[in-house]
Amino acid sequence: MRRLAFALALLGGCGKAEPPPPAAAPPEAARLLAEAGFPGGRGFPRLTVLYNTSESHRKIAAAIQEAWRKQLGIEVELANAEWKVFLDRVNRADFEIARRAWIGEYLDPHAFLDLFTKESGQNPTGWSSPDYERLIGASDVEPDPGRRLALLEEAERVLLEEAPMFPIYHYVAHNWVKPFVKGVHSNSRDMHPMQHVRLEGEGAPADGVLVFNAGEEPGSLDPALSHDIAGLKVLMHVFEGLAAYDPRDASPVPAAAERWEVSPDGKTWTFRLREARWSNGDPLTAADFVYAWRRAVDPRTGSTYSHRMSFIRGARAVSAGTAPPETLGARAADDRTLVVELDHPAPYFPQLACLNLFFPVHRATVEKHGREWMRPPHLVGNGPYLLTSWKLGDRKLFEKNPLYRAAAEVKLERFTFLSISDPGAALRAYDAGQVHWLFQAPTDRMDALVRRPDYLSGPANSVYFYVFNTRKKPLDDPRVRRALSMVVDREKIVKYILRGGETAADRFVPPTALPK
Amino acid sequence: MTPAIAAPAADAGVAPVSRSPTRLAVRRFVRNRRALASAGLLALIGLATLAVPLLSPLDYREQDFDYTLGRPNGRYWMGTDALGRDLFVRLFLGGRISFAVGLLATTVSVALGLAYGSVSAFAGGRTDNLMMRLVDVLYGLPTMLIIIIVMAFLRSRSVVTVFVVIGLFGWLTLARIVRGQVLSVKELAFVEAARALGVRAGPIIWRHMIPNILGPVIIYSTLSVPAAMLSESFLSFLGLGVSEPETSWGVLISEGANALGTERNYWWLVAFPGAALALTLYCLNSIGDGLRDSFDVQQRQDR
Repeated sequence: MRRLAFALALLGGCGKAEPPPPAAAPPEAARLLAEAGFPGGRGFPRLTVLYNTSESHRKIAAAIQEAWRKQLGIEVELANAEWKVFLDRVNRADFEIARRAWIGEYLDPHAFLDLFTKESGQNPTGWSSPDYERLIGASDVEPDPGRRLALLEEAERVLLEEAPMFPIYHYVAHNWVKPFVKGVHSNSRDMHPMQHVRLEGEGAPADGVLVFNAGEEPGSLDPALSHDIAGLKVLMHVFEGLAAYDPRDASPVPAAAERWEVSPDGKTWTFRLREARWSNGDPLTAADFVYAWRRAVDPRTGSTYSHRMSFIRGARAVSAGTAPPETLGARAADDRTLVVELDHPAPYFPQLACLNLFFPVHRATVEKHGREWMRPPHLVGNGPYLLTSWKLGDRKLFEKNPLYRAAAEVKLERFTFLSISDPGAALRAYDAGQVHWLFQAPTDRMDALVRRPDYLSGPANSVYFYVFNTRKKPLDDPRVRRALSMVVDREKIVKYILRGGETAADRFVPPTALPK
Repeated sequence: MTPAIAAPAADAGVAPVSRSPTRLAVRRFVRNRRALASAGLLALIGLATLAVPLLSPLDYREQDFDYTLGRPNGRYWMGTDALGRDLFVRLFLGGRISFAVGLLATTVSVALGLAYGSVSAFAGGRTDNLMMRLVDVLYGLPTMLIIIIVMAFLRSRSVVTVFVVIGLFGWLTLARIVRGQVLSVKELAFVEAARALGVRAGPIIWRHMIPNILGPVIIYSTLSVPAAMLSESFLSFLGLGVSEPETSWGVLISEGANALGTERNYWWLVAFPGAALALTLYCLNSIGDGLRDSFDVQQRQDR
């Protein structure tokens, strides 16, 4: 036995160079950890890092795990869950450390920074800081753009210093589009309304159905509740907000509203609606918007996304439950005029109006079918398409809505969203021609894939980050959080794991959200 | 009690030896070259999964970002994965989990299936009917779904739970096989004889029946080892099995399959774990084959 072990030792040892010496932690991180009572990682409890099941999230989590083990002497466990379960656990604060990402709804640092305010439904960390609240609040009412930006930058500095989260990288948008899919533009938001897409030329499917792999199932398909990009991609086709994304640059263009006026103080917006109908034939009125918005901020609806409406007068009080939903500063002056009163000027209002949270909903349908109202065939929308079939985890079929106000301009008659969540399987389906459009691919093959002629890249106003649950010890100590954040090598993660041109993030707000 | 079996006429001149059925089986097995070589190879692989991770100078967690997705070379004999970890060490480390899952899950399911099937067949009548209908009902349930629910319910992230849970749901087919075999053996003369001698049900099942039905059981269990290994990789993918930085063959192979592409091939990521799994399964199958041949008591001739 001993001889065998010796032989194996020889076998294992020969041809291998000495292992590299262990990387020394940055002295700053080691010092912070020691100050917090864990010198060299001793006595640090075994925490769990939660991520949603995906190959790239797993690799990034493993890289972070190893960096903490090696440089700080801290061992953590990794756990993964399917997207909906993951979201549920994060929302219930049933986690210690979790992976998150955020796509800014408007091109402004505020879209990111207000996530970590107290009233935000998207702040699972349990962290709040009076300084931070004060700075964000001051930026809301600051009329001078330069001073406003300085306030936001100061707030971001507080956020990074206190580190309830740590950023990893800023996304780029990836798209692989078959050459017969025309009219796809790369834009700052990676938003591609299908009604502007055409199928033309060699290889175009004979049945005229465009197949897009949408990946994970959305967390919800209720416009008031959905807060993920998967949900928005579905809802923006079934509903139409006051404004909608221009397919070329994703800037907001008039949609359900034909025009809008802003009062000189920037606090009163008047939207003039176009003549339009719901898919069941009912006329679309300003009251439908008022109903939808009151419903979104109503605490009984339980939206974790309604803080996006907090700039509307009265929204905060309604969300807090101290005022009835009828006090929300949005009213229908007549059937086609919507007047919105704001707490402070919000030049980004039209960008927000493109989001599902601000979509109108059909009151009779919601009241009749309750939680099931979003399921075909109950669903009544005002968008360019009807969701005619929804097989959970498999596919969603969209067909042109003949009653859409601009039905004549909708070029694509039908399309399908597939839910292939494994990027390798999705890529195989794409290469086999069963899928015509992809936005995710296996990271191992990324450096070759981004050189393909069918690849379309673009900026993405989004950030990938990790959050700490600061209610749990020892994550309540900012020194621990900073030390953990400090030793993660972002450059290596983007260069060797992601391989698709993403940029390492040393700050939270992506460069796309900053003024040029 | 055990009379010495007289040596056959062909062996005249050789000193008569006492040959128990087990010894005969061992002899037959040893003479089966393919089975013996497979057993040796399997033992070697098993030993290597224990020894290599201990002895290698490279740690299975060590990430070398200067050499991610690197080809096999002098330092990394089987190349590196996307995080620059040595595949050689990880392969053998993953083998530990896969071996353990395969063997433990199979042991659990064989023990359950053998006991359940033989009791059911031996009891016969209403008890048999009732027990087999229960198996039918359990058959109707989607096994993977139940495993997932049980795993989620237990909320235990220990790998041992994976082994046991997979085993707990793998015995149904085996119970049926065993029952069928026992039914056919039950009416044979030697069982009658034992019964006539007043041997109780337990010893009859254990000493007289089970040795006679071992053949199909062994074949089926060698086939259920790979099935258990595959179930483990599926559970790991769902986040219910092993998690980083630990690994298993199933996990390594599914990772490697994603890295296979037309533009650039990281073939080592799938070739080595795939070869290891294939080799192990081949060994298990030929061992099973050899065991069946040698334990087959109907095969009286001692060639």
